[in-house]
Amino acid sequence: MLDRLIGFLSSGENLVFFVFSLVAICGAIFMISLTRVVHMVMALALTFLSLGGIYITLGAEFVGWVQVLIYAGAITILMIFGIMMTRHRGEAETEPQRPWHNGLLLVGAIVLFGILFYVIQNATITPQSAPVDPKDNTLQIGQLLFNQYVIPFEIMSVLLTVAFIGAIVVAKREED
Amino acid sequence: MEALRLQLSDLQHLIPELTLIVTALLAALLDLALPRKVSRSFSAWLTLLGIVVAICFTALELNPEEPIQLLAQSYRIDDFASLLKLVILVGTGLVVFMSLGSAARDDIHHVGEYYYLFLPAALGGMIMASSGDLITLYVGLELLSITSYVLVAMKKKSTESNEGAFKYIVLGGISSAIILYGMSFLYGISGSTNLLAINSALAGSIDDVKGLVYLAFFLLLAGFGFKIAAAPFHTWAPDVYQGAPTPVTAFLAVVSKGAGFAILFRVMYWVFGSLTLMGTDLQKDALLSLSVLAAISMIAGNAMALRQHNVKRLLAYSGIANAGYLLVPIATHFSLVHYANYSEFLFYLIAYLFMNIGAFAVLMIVQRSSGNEELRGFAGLYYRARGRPQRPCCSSFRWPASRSRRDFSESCSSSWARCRRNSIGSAR
Repeated sequence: MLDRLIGFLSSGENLVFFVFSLVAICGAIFMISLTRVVHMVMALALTFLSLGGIYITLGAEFVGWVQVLIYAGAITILMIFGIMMTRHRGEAETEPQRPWHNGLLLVGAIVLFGILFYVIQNATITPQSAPVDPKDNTLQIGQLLFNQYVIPFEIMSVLLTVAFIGAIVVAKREED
Repeated sequence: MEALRLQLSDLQHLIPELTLIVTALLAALLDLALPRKVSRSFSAWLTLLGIVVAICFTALELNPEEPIQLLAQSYRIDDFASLLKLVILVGTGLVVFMSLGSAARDDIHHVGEYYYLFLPAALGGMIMASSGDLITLYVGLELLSITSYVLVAMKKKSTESNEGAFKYIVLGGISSAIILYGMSFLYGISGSTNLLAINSALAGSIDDVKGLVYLAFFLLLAGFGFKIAAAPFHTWAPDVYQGAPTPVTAFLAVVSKGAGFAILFRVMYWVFGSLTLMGTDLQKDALLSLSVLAAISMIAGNAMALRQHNVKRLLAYSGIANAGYLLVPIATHFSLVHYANYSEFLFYLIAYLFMNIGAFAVLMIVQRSSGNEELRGFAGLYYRARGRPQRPCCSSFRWPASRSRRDFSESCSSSWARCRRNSIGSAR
C-alpha cells in the first residue's frame, strides 16, 4: 500500500504537487486556529495561492491564474478592506474547555482520514484521455461554457444576483 | 464532437423558469425605482402572479410525448420533473400567500426583498427537479440554499433568527462541500457529469473502483441527508426552524425538503439504483443504506418530538420523521412487481405539502393571538376562538387519512405525539 505513495513522491511533478497541497492545508488550519482576523485573511490568501499553484501543475493554467487574480488578489484585498472599515474589538474569547468533545472529534477525523486513505490507495483508476486539449484550454473552456453548459452558467448569474441582494439586505443598517 | 448549442426555439421549454426570473427582476427593479412611501405589498402580489403564470406554463408541459432534453441532459422535461415543479410552485405560492401582511408584524424591514426572494428559491428547486447533469443539479441546489440562508436571516433584530441563519449557512456550506466531494469522485471515475453516462461507466468498471464508488455514494447520502434533514444529519433543523419567520419555516419544511428529495431521487435512481446497475451488490447496498437512514429518521424524529415545548421545534422533528417516510419509496426495490415508487413518493409529498403548510398557517394564527409559539399558546383555544380548534384537528387528521395503508401506523405515532402534546397543553 505504501509503495504507491513512495512511487508517487519520487517524481518531481508530484513533489511540487505535494508541497503545494501541504501549504494549502497548513493555510486552512492556520485560518481556523488563528485569533486575529487580519492573520486569518493572510492564511486564507496562502491557501488560495497554493491552490492556484496546484491548478497550474495540473495543466489548468486558466483556472490557476483566475484563482490567483480573483481569490488571492481581489477577494483577499476586499476582505482586508472590510476588516479595516469595520470596528473590531480585539479581545480573544475563551472557549469553554470540552476535552471529551475534542477527543471524539479527533477520533472521528482520524477514522475518516483512514477510510479515505485506504479507499483511495486501493482503487485502480484507468487513466482516461483528457477531455480537453491542454493547449488553448481557455478557448475550450469558453466554448463549453457558452454551449453545453450555458444553462448552469445563466443560473449562476441569477445566483450571484441573489447573493448580492441578500448580502445588502443582511448587512444594511436599519435607520429607525 | 459536435458542439451542443441552445437554439432560440429551445427557450420555449424553459418558459416556466424564465417567467420566475423575469418576475423577480421586475420586482427588484420596481422596488428600487419606486419612492419609499409606496407600500411594498405590490411585491407580494407580483410574486404570486409570477408563480401562478409559471404554474400554468408548467402544467402545459405535462405529459410530453417523449421526454424533452436539452444540451446533453443538462435540462430535462419529463413528468417526474414537471410534477415536482408543480409541487414546488404550489408550495411556494401558498407560502407567499400565507405571509401576506405578516411581514410587517414579524419585524421584517425589507418587505420587498422578502417576497421576491421566494422566486429564485423556487427556481433553484425547479432546476434541481429537472436536470440530469451533476453541474446543473448542483447550481440549482446552491441557488435554493443561498436564497434560503438570506430568507432565514430576514428577522434581523431577533437573536434567534441570527443564530438560526448562522447555523444554517455553516452547516449548509459543509453539506454542500460533502456533496461536491462525492460528485468529484463520480466525475473522476467516469469522466462525465451526465448521470446516465456515470451509470454506464460505473457498470463497466465497478470491480476496479468499488471502494471509490461506495465512498462517493456515502458522501452524497450524507450531504443530501443534511439537505432533507434526515436523522442523524438533522441537528440544524430545530434551531433554524425556530429562528426563521414562520412562512420561511414552512418554505424550508416543504419546498426545500421536496427539492432535496427531487435531487436525491434523481441521483440515487439514475446513478446507483437502476438501469445497468440493476441487481448488483452496489444497488442492494445503496437501497439498504437508504432504508437504514429512513428508519433512523422515523424513530429519532418521532421520539424527540415528544420532548418539545416549542411548536416550531415540534414541527421540525415532525419534518424529520416525514423525511424518513419519504425515503421509503426511494429505498424500496424497483422491479416488475413493484414499480410505482415515484407515484407513491409524489402522493405522499403532496399530502405532506398541504398538511404541513396548513399546520404552519394555524401556528401563525395562534401565535398572533396568543403572542408566543409555545404549546401552551394552544391552551384554551376552544374558549378563545370557537370554531377554530377544528382546523388544527383537520390538518392533523388529514395526516394519517391521506396516507396509504402501508405506513398508516407509523404516521399515527407521530400525529398521536402531536395530539397528546396538544391535549397536555390544553389541560395545563
